[in-house]
Amino acid sequence: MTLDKIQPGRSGRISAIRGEGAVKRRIMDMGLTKGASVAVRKVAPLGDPIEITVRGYELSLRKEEALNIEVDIQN
Amino acid sequence: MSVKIALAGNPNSGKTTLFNALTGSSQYVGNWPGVTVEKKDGILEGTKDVVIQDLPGIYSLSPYSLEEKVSRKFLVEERPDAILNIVDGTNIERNLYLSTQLAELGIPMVLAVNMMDVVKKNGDKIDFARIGKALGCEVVGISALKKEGGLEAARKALSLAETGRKGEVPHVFTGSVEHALAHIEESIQGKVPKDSIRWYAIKIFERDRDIIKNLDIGVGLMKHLEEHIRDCEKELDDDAESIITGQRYEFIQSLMSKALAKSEARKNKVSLSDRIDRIVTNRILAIPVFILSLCAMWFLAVSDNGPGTVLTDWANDGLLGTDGWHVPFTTHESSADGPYKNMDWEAAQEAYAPHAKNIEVWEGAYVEAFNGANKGKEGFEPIENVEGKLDERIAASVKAEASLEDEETGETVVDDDGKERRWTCDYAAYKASKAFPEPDPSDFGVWVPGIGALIATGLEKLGVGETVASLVNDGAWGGVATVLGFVPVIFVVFLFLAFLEDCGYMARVAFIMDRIFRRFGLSGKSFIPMIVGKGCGVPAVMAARAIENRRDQRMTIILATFIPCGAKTVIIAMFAAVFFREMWYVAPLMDVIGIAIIVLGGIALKKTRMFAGDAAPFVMELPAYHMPTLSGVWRHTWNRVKGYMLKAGLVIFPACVFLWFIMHFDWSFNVLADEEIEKSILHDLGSAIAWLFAPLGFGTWQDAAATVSAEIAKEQATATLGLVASGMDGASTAAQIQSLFGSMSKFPLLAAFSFMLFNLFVPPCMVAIAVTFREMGSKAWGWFAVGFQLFVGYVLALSVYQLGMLFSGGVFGVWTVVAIAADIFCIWAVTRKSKA
Amino acid sequence: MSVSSIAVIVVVLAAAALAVWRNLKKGAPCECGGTSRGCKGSCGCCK
Repeated sequence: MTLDKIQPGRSGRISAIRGEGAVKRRIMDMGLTKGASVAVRKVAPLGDPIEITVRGYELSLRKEEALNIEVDIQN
Repeated sequence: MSVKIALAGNPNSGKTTLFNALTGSSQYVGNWPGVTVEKKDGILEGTKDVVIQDLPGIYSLSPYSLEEKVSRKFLVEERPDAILNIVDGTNIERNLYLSTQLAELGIPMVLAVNMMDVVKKNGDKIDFARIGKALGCEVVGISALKKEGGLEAARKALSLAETGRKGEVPHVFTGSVEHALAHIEESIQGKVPKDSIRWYAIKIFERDRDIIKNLDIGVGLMKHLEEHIRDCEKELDDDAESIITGQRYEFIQSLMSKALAKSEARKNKVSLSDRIDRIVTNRILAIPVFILSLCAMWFLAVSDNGPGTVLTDWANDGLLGTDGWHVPFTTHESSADGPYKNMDWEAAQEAYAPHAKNIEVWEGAYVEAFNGANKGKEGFEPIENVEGKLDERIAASVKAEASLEDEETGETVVDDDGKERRWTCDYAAYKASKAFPEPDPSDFGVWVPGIGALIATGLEKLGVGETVASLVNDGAWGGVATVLGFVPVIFVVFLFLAFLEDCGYMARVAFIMDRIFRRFGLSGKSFIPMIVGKGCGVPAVMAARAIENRRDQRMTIILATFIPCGAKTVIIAMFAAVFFREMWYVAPLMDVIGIAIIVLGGIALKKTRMFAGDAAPFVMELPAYHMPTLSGVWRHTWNRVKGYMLKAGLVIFPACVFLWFIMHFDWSFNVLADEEIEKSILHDLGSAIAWLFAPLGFGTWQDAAATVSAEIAKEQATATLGLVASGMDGASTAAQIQSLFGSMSKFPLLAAFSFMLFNLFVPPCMVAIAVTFREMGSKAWGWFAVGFQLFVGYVLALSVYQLGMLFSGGVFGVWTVVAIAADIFCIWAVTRKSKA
Repeated sequence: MSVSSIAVIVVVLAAAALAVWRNLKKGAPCECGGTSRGCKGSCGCCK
């Protein structure tokens, strides 16, 4: 499932990252790489962006960016 | 050549706190993204010329963002003698990502793991030696906040720099990648400094265009290297960049599994940060919380009984003005013999009031009578006051009568039977009142006379003429006093801002606001310059540099200054005090209007061909909240307040002196008496443009002068108003300004509101405009920004005034039509289909 | 005009001139605590 569709409270491991260019690089630089565990914390009050926990810290990104991240749900 | 040590680290790692501790300078600490890219440096404490070069907070050395490019450039081209890499110990995995890249540069490095106090409190353990061995550098623990270990770390870096000793470059990558890298290293031998060859090779592997171009790698060679890279990509089924970043994190992850022991207990505890977030970013509560914080700030700053207003009133009238004040806790009942014995100050003033009224009323009537009786006599000049001109015969016949004004509302007191209550005083009563002693404030407590009063009496004693006294009392001192009087208000605002910025709330605000900003193609990141703008518009415009997309950056620059800055806050404070005392909501309303203009203006701009396009990405770290330190908050607040006061002395003061002169001289440089003010230079200059403001409700030369003078500094408008209103009726500056607006419009509150709106939402002060031009990069864009802001401010004030006049006075004219037309245009601009 | 009046005018004008000169030389102070000269012409060193 792509990261944008995961409900708050669930977590999993990243299986693939699509896209290219600066945004993809940025996402990976921030720790979202293949095999990393992510947990979805919450959704912003207005519906977007989302807050996730990755590599021990909180990161916010838009659903349209999270769309490129494929995650294997684990719980 | 002095030793140069680069200070590098992630945003929010405490780098700025460390930098301040190392260089002793008072720099601002912000813990949200959006750092300006200017380089900061300082001299290391205890050394003479060791330079600590602060690099912008960066997450990586990739070639995409401006901050990264600047940092890279510095690191590879200027090659510092050592690197001090600061790492957030509570977030160590992601922080080390940058560290691995820095280590590959082959520059002596010390890794300082910061926030060790929090790490210890959490119960986590970090194995420094292991990390040091893996990365080939020295690792130490510090707590920049608690000032522990920072200087030692820096000195360690210094000694490394001096000995030039560096560790082994870490082996981060797997076999096939290493293989490709080896090939690349071979082919760039000699083109790059030997120590950095690893870093360059990796960049080439990642197909970093900047590096490839700079190294001037021939097409043929590149094709050859491409083969190796492509082999790797095929084998690992991924693109080169992803391979590198992925393997870096894998390296770090495996290192952490050996070097980091997280406390079990913490894994399941909900942190305080989370609990605060539950409310602050809550679906329903988030925006109300934000608005509530704004209202709280304004309440403290300008509400009628709030600390801001109380202190400002004291500052304006008591401390700096002519009223004077009692030192708190020293007031007592008078023990002096006389009519006020055993009364307190209020009671005494009440007791004296009827006598003061007698004097005021009778003397006025006397002057009228005297002038009337002597009119037409040769060589007679009408008198203004009684001094020395008491003619007994005329006096005996004068019986004064006046209506009473309610002290609070200013309305005439009317008795139950509908007749105006009259106050009468004849000559005998006047003589008795004149003989009645005035209460001496020093009998009632420790009394400090107002500085204004001291100056005035001082000048009198020196025998200074009335005009020159006015130069000092109204011009030089008066103007500065007006501006300084508002220090309590801006102190509250800056204190609030400093607290919000230091505790981490700002990143949350960007997170909440992103959705709205995305609507017009910006991101939550654009909101941050606007928060910065609450202090001063100049750093706000500069903070827009953090926005990578040039088009979005331009839009942010145009919109950033619509949030009332510190100086504009002074205007709000003055108008709130003079016109809107009971209406506490007027002040926060200005912020709301500012935000509304930004949102609507952004939407409208986005729909134009110039700005249409895809929304910028928004990937942002949300740092944990932390309790701001008292000293940090105080320092940030005080820096700003100090700047404000300094500005009052250095900018407002000469401006007021200049204004006074052109207000009291005509074009032939003759001195003018108070009544001749219409002949003054200022009057003519103001009148020349006053017609521009007529449709807005304040088309007087005084308001025109105030508005134009606001371009020097927005708070100058308050000083100028105080100055030009000094000829009007009124016992205080506030009353005089009320008279001023009362004389120009049947609806003075509406005119005042319109004036305030105009001054708040047109282009900012000259300095900010200059920065706008600079940051835009071209004169055309600069003028567009200024034009847009002028349009918005004008239409806003116009609409409010014209529609206000329509609804409250039924006034309908040409300008009402213009206002409505302009409003329809704006509505169309915001709601039409996008040109994208 | 009295001597004291002239003296006061001189003092005020001198102070104003001094302030302006200091601004031109050192840069105008800005609300963020720095000086504009220190940041190459604008109040930018503050964040």
